Amino acid sequence: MVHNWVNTGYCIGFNTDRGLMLDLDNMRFKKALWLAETLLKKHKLEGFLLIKSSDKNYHAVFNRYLSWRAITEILFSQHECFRWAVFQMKEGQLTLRVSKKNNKDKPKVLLKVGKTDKLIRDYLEIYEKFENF
Amino acid sequence: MKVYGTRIKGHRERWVVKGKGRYFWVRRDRKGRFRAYGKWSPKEPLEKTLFTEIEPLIVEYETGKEALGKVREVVKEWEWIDFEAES
Repeated sequence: MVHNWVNTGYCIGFNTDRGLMLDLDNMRFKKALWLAETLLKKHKLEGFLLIKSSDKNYHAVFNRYLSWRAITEILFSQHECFRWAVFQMKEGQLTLRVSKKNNKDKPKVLLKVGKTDKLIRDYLEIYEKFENF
Repeated sequence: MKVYGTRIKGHRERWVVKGKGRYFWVRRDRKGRFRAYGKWSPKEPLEKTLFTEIEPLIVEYETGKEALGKVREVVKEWEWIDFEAES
């Protein structure tokens, strides 16, 4: 596997170990939405934010604060998240990009569903502050 | 919060990228003529004075404004290698 270098300048990521965030790569919008809604209902995550990072690549941020144990359990309950989850487990934190990277644009917020007063608020605070990055 | 990228401290030679995932250094003389090349890895610095770091920088913060200020400082402090521009 070729390492995905940041080959132009730098890139900024939002990282947390207090709540659930997902990187949904190689997926259609419908599938990403279905996955976010399923996890929301199944684990009572209060709300989610769906973000488009590039074509067929989406990010999801869930509102509820969770323990690291709960986060790992949820991540490994869905086979779509396995690959990303393994890399995040190595670091002990979940990280999502909030700035431009190489030739990819800054991620764009598509949908807000349910409550947005906890982790989503933290994410959006950073997302808006780094508007020009 | 994390700041990613390949960043470097101190003097460095010119870099060049050939193909995906393979990185080479290139040395040229004052007139820009080719002198030598070799395979480059971020783990092995080219010179003793050279230091390359590819690990992300972790920035702790409490408010968004504080995070922005800290990241701006960190970003200015380092020289960021731009592979595409030099290939």
